[in-house]
Amino acid sequence: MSEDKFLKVEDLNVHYITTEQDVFAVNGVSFEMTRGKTLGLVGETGAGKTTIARAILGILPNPPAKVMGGKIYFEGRNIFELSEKDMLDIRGNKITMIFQDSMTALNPVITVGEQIAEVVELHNGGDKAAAKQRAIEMLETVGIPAERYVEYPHQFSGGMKQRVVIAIALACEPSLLLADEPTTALDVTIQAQVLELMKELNEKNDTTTILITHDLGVVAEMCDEVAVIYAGQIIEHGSLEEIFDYPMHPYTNGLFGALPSMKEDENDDRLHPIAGLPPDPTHLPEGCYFSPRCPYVTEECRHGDIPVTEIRPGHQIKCLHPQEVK
Amino acid sequence: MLRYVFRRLLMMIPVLLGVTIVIFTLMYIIPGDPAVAILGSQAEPWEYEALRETMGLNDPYIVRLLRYLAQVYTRFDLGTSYLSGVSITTELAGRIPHTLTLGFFSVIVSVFIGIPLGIQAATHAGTWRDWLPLTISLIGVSMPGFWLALMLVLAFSVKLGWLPAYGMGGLKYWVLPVLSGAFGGLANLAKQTRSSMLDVLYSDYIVMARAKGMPERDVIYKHALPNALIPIITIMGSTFARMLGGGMLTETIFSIPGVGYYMVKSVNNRDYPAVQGSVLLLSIVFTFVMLLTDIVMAFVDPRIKAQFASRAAKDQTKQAKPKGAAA
Repeated sequence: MSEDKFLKVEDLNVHYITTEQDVFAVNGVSFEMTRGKTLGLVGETGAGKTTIARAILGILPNPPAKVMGGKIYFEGRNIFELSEKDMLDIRGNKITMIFQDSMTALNPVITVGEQIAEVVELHNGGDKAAAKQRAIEMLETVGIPAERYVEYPHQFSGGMKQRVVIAIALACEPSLLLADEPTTALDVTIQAQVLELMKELNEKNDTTTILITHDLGVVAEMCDEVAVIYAGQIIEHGSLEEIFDYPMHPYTNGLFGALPSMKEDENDDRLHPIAGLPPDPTHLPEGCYFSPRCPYVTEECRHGDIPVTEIRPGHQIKCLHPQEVK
Repeated sequence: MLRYVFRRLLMMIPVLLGVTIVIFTLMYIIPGDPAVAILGSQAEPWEYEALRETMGLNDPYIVRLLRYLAQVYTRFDLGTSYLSGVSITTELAGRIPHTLTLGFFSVIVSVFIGIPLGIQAATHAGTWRDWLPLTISLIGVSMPGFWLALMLVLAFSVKLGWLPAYGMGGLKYWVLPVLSGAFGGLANLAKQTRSSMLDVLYSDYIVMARAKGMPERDVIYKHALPNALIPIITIMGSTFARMLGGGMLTETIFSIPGVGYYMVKSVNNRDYPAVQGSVLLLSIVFTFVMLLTDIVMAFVDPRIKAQFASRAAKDQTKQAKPKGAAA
């Protein structure tokens, strides 16, 4: 198993199928990750970021979610071909996830300590005492006093709950961490603490991380690589510097344009939102999914599949009219 | 927690007093004359009058009410039956075990069938394992218990001859009463379990439990069920309460000498003290069941427990304040 094949997602397609309609959540997503790197998945709400993470972990709600095609190789093995038993072994142990909403991610009737110990016990062969020891250790690692082990989630503040969620995700020292908007629900001051903590622990354990967020500031702080998701597709992918310094896709440009800037600009004191709305995932447009909102759209954008091209070394883009804004 | 239980026990006093007054008043205003019921319709008018006088029936309402309250709450005496002259307390003490046995086993049966049925309906939502139990529940909820009882008797006693149709005896005498008593509650429980499990199964902490690599069985029984239990426990409490009230019909159909059967008989005979005593007894049992329900809930859900705790803490600070002011 070569290093660069640590995680490889190939042409992943996930649909949510209900009797009324099919939602095309993820449409042909491919990317690779090397060990120890952090990839930022950036995109608007509903772009399919969380679905990608849940597909990797194999916890898509089925029904209605259905993997329509694609392969996910984790440490060289296609996880869709693994038995449920093997997946149980990987989940929570080698691949873990930090959930978006810490307010609802903890079970209200189980003590916080037990919720951490539980995941350890599931993967250490059922050693209760060791699991409890580890849980106490993790609580202290995330800055929560050990005596609060016996308390329930309702006795914790939002920031503390999120730290518990992180402790659960990191208790088994995963090799792949899926962080789904780990700081979105938090105050800015606590955000910084949580990010710092994640960074520290990741470096210590050489954890590969996929960080899902729509906060470009967090991406700049945390990531080595960035993939921009739009309507279930990666439309631009490259190293942090490439994407931040040379954004080429009109959508990526739009994202940066929508950020408030502190710089004084003589005639530019307003935000620039991207015109229009993301496409309805039940009826995606033909051709490029961004074409209805794109200022540079041409006739050929509206037909067929848009190829992925490597525009600069290590910088891929799914667009016929890359724009360089400087 | 102990303080809470104690407080709830104290709160039962006004409730029971209220029940006593209401039931006494109802019995007072309904038409019908106990004297006629006792002597029959052939007696002389002065005989009725004399009997009413000795029984104190000619006294004003308020005097009779106070006399009854004093008798019940100071001497714990429910009076004697107009009809048989036997002490009602003795009469009820012999009968309540039958009623409680019927209620208890009906609840046990409905819990042990209804909850698993509801769980599997929820976990297999949309498949036949969902709609089959749902259909059964719908039939169960819609069907009057006494009708089911009669049908069961028809099938298992009259046609098949497997089980006795009425009376008391060994274990097999309990099968049909418990079944007919349990079915309605079972259906209710299955429905409630299904819907509250469905609510819980899509919550984030269930996804989280799965993400931990927990086998689905444990996810359902360790993580989902305890959270779904709160409304289920409420239903269980009210199911038991319904067994007490509805037990009347079941007991009458199967000739079980329970409190319900006694109550029906007493109503027919205008045996006021007997009716009052029975209702009072069932109310006491009912309030205890409700208290038990609340305590069980507190043990299942730490948030409810915390409410009691914080209330107790508040009371303590309230009590502490005047002391502090005095110092």
